[in-house]
Amino acid sequence: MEIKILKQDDLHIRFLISGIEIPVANALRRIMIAEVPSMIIDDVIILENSSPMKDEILSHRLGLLPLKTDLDSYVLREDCACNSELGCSKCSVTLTLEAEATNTARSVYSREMKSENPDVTPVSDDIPLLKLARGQRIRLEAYAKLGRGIEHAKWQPVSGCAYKYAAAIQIDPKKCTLCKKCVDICTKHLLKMENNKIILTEPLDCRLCEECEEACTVGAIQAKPLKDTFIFDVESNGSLSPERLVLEANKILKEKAEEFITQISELKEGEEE
Amino acid sequence: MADQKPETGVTYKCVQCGAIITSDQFSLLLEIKCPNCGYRVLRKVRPPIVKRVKAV
Repeated sequence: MEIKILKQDDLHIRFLISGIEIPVANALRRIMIAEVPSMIIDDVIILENSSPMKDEILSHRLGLLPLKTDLDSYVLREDCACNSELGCSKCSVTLTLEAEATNTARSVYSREMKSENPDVTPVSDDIPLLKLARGQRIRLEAYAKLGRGIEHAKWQPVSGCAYKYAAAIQIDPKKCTLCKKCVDICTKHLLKMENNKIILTEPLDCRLCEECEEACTVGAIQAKPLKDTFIFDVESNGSLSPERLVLEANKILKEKAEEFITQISELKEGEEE
Repeated sequence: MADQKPETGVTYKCVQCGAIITSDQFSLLLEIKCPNCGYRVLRKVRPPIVKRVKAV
């Protein structure tokens, strides 16, 4: 198996992975979406709300606020020994919001949320939470916990996660008449003529539309997917770094596979007895 | 003797002048009218109850 990072920045990673089959690629994708934990507000205690926004609507909005997540310092609520409703310092982070429109009507933004842990704050400062008219106040306490997308979509740490087959374009120089029909038809302009040969410039950008195959009258070009090579495109919502997202997904997949083997072995032992 | 009507904590506010009317004052009124300006529309003020809401 080989992994090669094609592009990487703060929120996005694109990598090539070869030597795996499609069920493994799909499992990684599903785990990145629904099983990698992230920290999100789940309980809100409203102390005062004289705004026109209903408590439940505001709480729903707070639940959709992406928060920077520290996976190493916190545990999932179900794994925490505290057994308390609103959690403890090991499984929960408290954020507070106190805002008032004193002189004029104004919008309250996510930068006004104060967290007890400076590492767990909203990903963006510019998310509008609600609007207050003059004299209106909002005071609340929000409790964030680690959760998974499988429970509620607000816990999904990705804003996009997809994979596609890598393409293998094969050009037979013996059959090729250099008519350039394939070069003209390629919508991504990946083919070009050089030194009396048709060459592929960026194999990883090929969309496998097979237009070049159809355009070729002599069957000299073939666009086929590489069945064991995938290009993954993962975009984080900011809660975790994209690298950490992929590593966690891998860890969770491994744990699931190990759990499966353990359970099967226990079943077998049970049968033998 | 114990109070027949305990303090409910429900307050009303006149829509026109903003005067606060407590539940005791309200129960003594002959007709629903602001004691300050006489306006007949009163708004019930949100009680200071702490509410816990699930963020779903």
